[in-house]
Amino acid sequence: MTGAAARLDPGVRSDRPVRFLIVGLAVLLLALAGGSASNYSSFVVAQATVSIVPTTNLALHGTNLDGTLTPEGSVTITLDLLVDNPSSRVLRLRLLAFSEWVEDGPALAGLNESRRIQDDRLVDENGTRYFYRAFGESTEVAGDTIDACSRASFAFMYTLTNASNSIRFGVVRNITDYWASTKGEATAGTWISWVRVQLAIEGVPVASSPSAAAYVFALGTIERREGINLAAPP
Amino acid sequence: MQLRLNFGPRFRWMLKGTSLAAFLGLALGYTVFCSIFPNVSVPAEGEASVARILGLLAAAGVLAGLGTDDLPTGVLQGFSIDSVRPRNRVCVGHLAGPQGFLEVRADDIFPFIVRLGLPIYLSALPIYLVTCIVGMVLRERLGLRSASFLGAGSLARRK
Repeated sequence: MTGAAARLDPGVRSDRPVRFLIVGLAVLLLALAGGSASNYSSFVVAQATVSIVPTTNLALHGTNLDGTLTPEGSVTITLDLLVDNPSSRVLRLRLLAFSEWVEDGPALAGLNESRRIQDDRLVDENGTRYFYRAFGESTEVAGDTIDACSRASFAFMYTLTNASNSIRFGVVRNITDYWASTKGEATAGTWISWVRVQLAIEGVPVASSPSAAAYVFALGTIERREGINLAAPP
Repeated sequence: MQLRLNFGPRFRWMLKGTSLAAFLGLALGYTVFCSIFPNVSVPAEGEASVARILGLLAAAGVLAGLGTDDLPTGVLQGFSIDSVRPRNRVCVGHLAGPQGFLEVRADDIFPFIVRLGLPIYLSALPIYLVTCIVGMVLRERLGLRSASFLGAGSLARRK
């Protein structure tokens, strides 16, 4: 039915309600697209701007008068982790990996050949230096959050004793003894630390299917690494 | 004296067709974004819901069909979405790569590209064509006519 006959037909109605529906859905889609873009931008800002500043403090407890460790002593490292979050997203600390190496003086001096072979190496302008991994911890951290546009500080303590790991403690004791005898201070050797932190962005639904794309999982996670990882393959 | 803009019928036809094509393009762009980044979109989901995506495309197609006057316009609208595809790809799909916060490994490139909305781009045109025709059939059944058409009718009646 076309033309004047159609226009005069009483069954013919205006399509104005349909237009309103289209405009309504278009506005809804624009709002959703705008919200998605804003959400996405906040993720990008978080991924790009979040930073960490780790600082370590080394302390030897249970020492002799010359500063060397006794068999009942302990090596304690306090890791202060400052997380700066300038983004509008709330972050949650999820994973913390920490390693600390001490320069293996006895191995460098040729006093312990087997350890020199196993040690991690650092090649610099002075040649190859040998480091023993005194601490190597990876822990899942739950519950600690960093609010939007704020900084948060976390403290973690790592202790090495004869009871917790006798082999490592024995080696560290040997190395600190060497530095105490050669440099006059047990902690005079170079200590190198490496920190890897995984922060989860709050409010991100997690894909349940194992076939989900890897980047879908990566989007909600911020990973930061600081320091030198001597255990990393060259 | 009242100033009144009086566009020609051809211009109005083009404006209406372009508006509906833009509406379909908006729906397509949003669904592509949802399919690529389901956990970042609003509303956020763990994984993209195929039913939601197809439902949204179909709803947009039916509504566009309800607002379309004739079949050639409907088909033209469906095909004109092609012009927004490259922009969608650049603006949405490839956004994450150059920003450098997503690392795509060599063995991930193919699935990454496939997931960049390609299935939706491929299926959008037939979905839009079919649902647009469904909408136009409904429009005919409900006897819906545009305001300009009815305006012309009342003018004819007055004469």
